[in-house]
Amino acid sequence: MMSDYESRLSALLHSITPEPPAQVQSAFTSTRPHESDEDLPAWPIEPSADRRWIALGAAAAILGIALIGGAVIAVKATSSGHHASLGGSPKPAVSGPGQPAGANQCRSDQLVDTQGSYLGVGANGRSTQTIPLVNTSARACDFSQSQVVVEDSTTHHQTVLPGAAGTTSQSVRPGQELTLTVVFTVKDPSGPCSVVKPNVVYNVAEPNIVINFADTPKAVGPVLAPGFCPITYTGLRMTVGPVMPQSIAMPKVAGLSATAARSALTSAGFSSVTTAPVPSPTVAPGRVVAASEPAGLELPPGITITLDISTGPDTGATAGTPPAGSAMLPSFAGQSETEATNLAVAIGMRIQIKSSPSAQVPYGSVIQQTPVAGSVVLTGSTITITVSRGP
Amino acid sequence: MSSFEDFVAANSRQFLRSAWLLTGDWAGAEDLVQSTIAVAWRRWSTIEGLAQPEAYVRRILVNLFISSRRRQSATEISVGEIFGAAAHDDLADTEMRLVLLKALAGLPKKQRAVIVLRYFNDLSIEQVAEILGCTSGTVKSQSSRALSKLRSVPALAPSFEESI
Repeated sequence: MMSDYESRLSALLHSITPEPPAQVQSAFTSTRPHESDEDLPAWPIEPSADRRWIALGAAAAILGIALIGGAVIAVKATSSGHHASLGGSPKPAVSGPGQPAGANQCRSDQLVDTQGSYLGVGANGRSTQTIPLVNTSARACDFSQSQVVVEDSTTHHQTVLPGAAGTTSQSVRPGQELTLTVVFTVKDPSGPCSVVKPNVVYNVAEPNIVINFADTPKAVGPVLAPGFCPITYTGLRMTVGPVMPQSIAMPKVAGLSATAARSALTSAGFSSVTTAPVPSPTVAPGRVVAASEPAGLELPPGITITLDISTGPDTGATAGTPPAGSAMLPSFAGQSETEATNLAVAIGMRIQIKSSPSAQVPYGSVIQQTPVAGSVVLTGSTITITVSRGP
Repeated sequence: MSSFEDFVAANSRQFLRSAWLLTGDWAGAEDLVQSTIAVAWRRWSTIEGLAQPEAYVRRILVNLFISSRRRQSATEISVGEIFGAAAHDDLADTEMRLVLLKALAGLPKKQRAVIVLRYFNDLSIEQVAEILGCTSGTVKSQSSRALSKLRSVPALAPSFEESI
């Protein structure tokens, strides 16, 4: 009945679909979802009851509010019956048969959803920006005692952000490591403790910013008092990675000296710059004739920019500014004797070398030249250069 | 223990695995199953009396999935995704999962549901049609369209030839 292909697909689906991770599975199979359950006091009113009251806080994103992860609150309720409510709806109207109705109950209409963006990080090296990073959502009767603690792992500076709902942000540097501790103190008059299953969604809204997470969020929480259940997610270490701007505008570099052009590119964000010597009749030697990318173009920062650096007029070039049979002299200053000789020969000149002591110019480098750089001389003329003998 | 709790405990594993194939990650799967169970709970007195309550609940799950507007954003990283990946032991399996999930994610929701129901839940064409509330003909055409799309994924090809 099934084709071979279908059978193989079926076999593949069966073999490749993983088992649910324990923390996911436990939300559905255990009435005691957290390790901290051992600490839970017996419910004072009806200690024998061990019924589960599941409030299912599904994604608030159903409402299209934000990228919010759902949260499950599994409450140990006091009497028989279950209660399930579908999260995301503003008024959970669901009520299971035999739902407890005592005065101490957190009634379904008292449940509130909370959601918030807790931490904004951002820094692109030049300007600092803040973005929402962590969205959490949960559902309980009272979040008044909730807080979020952000600690810088290096300085141990703590920022305490009050309230479980709302948005707050903090600017961080790239490379900074933060420990995020989210404390939900869920006050639930209906039971000893509203055990909130953590579902913190890191909403890295900024594609430029790389957040590296370490550690699995853990829900821990000693019970403060009956009805209060602090759920702490701790150890959410995150490192703000290198911030890569998406694109940078190519600066104008033509005409600048090679050094100035290079530093202009570096400060704009281009890290890879190479140079290539090219003859140019119009651009003074050592200056940028052209760059491999036109100025103003938006480019990815990783691109290699090649700068054409003028070596002065080409010997063979007859179409330049200097008349045929002549050339504009480049500057030989700072070059070694060999370099200067090679360049002179390359542009069709003869060279005569003198030497002179100099305290400023290193041994072997050209101090001066005659005629001076920029002079137009006939091809075959002799250029005299003076090379330093040292001090 | 009530029958509802028993039911959830007994079936959540299969529901979660199906939901994982549909949504592509555990966080999404968990949300989907949670929503499903919440809906099922409301109708439990009806469902309880059915011959195959799990079939009915699966129907809720699939239809919630198809009607959900939620699309995982590329910039959203859920904890489960980050840490779940490390939990897989076998690298080849992990790669295969990613390839498969990517291929499934490329299908329209209804076709994805057909694939999961038909080849993972091993339901007949008629059963799939009933769950999706469409005709057998529609299931067949959706299924063959989805299969031909999956077939065209080169990374999936070798595994089909090797297996069996």
